[in-house]
Amino acid sequence: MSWVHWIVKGAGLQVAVVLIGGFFLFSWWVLGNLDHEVAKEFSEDRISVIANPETEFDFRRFLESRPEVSRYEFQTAEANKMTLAGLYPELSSVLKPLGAEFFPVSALIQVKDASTFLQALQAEVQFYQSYLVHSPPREIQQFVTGSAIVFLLLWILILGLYLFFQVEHLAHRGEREWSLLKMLGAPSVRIFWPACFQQMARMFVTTAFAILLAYWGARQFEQVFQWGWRPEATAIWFQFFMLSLLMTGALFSSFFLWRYRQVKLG
Amino acid sequence: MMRNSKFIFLFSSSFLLWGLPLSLFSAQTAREKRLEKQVHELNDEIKDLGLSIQSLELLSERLKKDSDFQEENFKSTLSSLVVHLIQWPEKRWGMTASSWTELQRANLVLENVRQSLLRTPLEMMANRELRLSEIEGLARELENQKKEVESKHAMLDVQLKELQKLKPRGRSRPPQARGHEKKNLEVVD
Repeated sequence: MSWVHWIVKGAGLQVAVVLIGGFFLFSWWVLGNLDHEVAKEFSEDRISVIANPETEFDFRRFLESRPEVSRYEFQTAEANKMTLAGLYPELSSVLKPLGAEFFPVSALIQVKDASTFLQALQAEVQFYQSYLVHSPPREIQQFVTGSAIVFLLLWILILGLYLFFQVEHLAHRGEREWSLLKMLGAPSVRIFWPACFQQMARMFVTTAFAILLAYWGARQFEQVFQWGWRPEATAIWFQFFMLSLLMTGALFSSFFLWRYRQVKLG
Repeated sequence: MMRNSKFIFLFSSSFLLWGLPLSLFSAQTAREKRLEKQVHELNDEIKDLGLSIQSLELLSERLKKDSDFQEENFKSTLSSLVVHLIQWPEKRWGMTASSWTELQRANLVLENVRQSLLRTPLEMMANRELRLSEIEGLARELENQKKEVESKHAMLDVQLKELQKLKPRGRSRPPQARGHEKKNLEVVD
């Protein structure tokens, strides 16, 4: 029954490596996309203004006269109603019966320097009801970064545990052979490389499963949050692949050398 | 010479005897006519003011009905929204937002809609009160104006009657003026 126990333990750890690896890879993908999107979106300051409909024309002229305004875009009350209904389907029953008079006219302004523009805007209170200076989603970025780090550490830990048990199992099975080799003074490479390649092959498959899991998660995520996600993520998958193999090689070598040293002669 | 002076004396005395009363009488008639004209104008003014007050009352009624209708409409809309308004979260996650800016902007617009919905009943009440008080003020002003014109009318009417009493007998008042005045008084009543 010990081999069943070993399979369960080994397979369990391998599944954990796949799952945690998938989660880490997925967090990494989200973080990469988020950073890229935020960098692109916030290359210039952005301000949303709820405009007064009565002074819309004058407000447009004011925006055109300001040198720090790169571009601006107005959205009518009806357009805002449609946008909100599209963004929040759960509110459609609330928004549908409301007339356009309940919805404001808004403007999205892209500026080179938000503080200078705001000073000028605040002097013209007749043009707006309220405004919002857009800021990047720092909390989300921090959360995703934290998640990626936690999953990476967990993945390394579980990978280490898995490889440790694999080395232990190999050592237990081939203790006599190892002892004899050690006694004869033969290089450990003779037993190291086959075992290492075997683990590498296992990790190759495990990593492929983790990548598949992360890819599936990314596709689902793209469907749920229709943000401007980067479609190409091959670089991320490849980097993870390389990292996985390198980590496996490094950890397995370390454990093997440590365990090999502990084998008693005779 | 003596004959000429007698003629002048006779002429002047006849002028004094007939001309002076005649000129006095014509002056009195002109004043009477002027008064009658004024009374007539005041009657018209009273009539106009009365009509204005009536139309203001109608306007006020219509305004009340309009406000009731609008408030009833809003009430029925709000009754379906009240649960959502109470449970309205400060930030919402729009799954279909194409960018972070769009999401933040949508939240800003949504908050504005919410504020607008909450503000509307108060604005409606304030608006109704303001418009009704404006109409009431205008009606009160017109009422005062009407009273003023009526008192002026009564005063002129008394003056006219006194003038008519002072007239020499045998000369009756022009029938048109009498009929006119009667008609005007009917209007005032």
